[in-house]
Amino acid sequence: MKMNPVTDYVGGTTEQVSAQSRVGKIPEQAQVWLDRGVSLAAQGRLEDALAAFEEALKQRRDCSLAWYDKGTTLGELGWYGEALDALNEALRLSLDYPDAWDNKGIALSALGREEEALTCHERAIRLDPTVANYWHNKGVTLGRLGRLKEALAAIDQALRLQPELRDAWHNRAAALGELRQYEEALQALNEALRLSPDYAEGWYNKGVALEKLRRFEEARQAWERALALKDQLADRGAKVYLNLGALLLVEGLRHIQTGALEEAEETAREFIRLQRQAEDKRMGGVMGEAVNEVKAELSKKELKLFEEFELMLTILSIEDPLERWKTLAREIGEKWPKGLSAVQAIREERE
Amino acid sequence: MKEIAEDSNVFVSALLKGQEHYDEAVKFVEGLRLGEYLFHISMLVPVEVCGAILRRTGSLARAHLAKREIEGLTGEGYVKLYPLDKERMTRAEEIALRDRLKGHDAVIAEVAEELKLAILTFDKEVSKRFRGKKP
Repeated sequence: MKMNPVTDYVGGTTEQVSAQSRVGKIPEQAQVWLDRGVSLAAQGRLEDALAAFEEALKQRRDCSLAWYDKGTTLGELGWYGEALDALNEALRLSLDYPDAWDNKGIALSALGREEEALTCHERAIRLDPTVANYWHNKGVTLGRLGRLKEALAAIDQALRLQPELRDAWHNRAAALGELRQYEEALQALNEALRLSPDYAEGWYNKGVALEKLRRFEEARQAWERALALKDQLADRGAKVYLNLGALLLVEGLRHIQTGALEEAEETAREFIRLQRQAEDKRMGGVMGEAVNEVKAELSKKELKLFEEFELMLTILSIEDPLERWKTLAREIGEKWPKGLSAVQAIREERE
Repeated sequence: MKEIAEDSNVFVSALLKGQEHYDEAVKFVEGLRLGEYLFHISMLVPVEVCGAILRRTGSLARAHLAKREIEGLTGEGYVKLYPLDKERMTRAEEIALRDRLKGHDAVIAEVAEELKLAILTFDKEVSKRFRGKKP
């Protein structure tokens, strides 16, 4: 959920102007600090913006707009406890302030207080039911509370008000995924990606939905697309490597099962490329997890075949040709019947 | 660079760590990559190597990887391959009759005879019977 933005007096919404009018005109000096704070926040200089809002509050302690801006900026900085205090102060000064209610809901939600958050989003909606984001945030909170059908209804209302709200499509997909309605989730993700084709999180989740629909090749393509945009993925990066790795391992096993060795080798090489990429990102360990996850799901018979694919991974990942040859020789030697020489074996091949 | 005609048992030995002739055979593979040797082999050799490994280990992956390694050596020019065409067939028949070699042995030995090279093999019967150039 994203906080509703900071705003200054002049550019504020009708509700904010009306809220502010209750406490009288903002002194000129406070207004200057508010303007500066909004401008700094727009540049992403959140701590400087916070300092400017503090200055505005020094000029006028009962300025609900300045408390709102301070609370919102604290929320953007991830300091939700302090954000909540500031937003409470804004609401103490001006109860009919929907953005402040909505942002308070976001802060409460971040603190894990979902029930209270829901009340705040509902309060914001009562004050202004035309703002899509309030409905969206209500939907997200309902989703976190496990009330998925109500979440969907709220998100759908947000989308009726603002069909281009990408995050709402994304969260609609999340709720549908929880309800195991993967086909519909996929449609919602396609909408999110139509609006933002470079939305890495969307590609990641599209991959998840496709995997659930057992459309593995498309899932793989979606995850590869997410990886290409991985800088946006933050903590999801490791998860993409894990899923994509697991998918390749299962594919490799399938090729071994059908005796398609060229394809198995190609899949093994893809896995190795992915592993190196993950190692470069310091996520190499995740590929080992993928191996363990896949192995945990296999039957005894499948495990035996999977060992063959693992051997391919081991041998093909050795770059030095002589080292690779010797490792392969060790592996063949271990399986070779005791007491049978190479000469005998070839002799028998010729008989 | 020393040019050698090579028998399948040398590659199999080089792929069998812990078995007789492994150390000796693997030195030849090292030598190939160092440019000390150039192997000339019948196209039967890679087939026999893969077949023997699959049959003895029961592992498709091992046989496939061995095939890939030999393809690597031929692809990089360390090993030269010879198909069995009509002329070679005729020469192999003559060698089989002359030296009382088995059919496959004669096909392998034909490459050595054609190129006037010694044959590298760990098979005593072949070394003893083949009357071509001696190592």
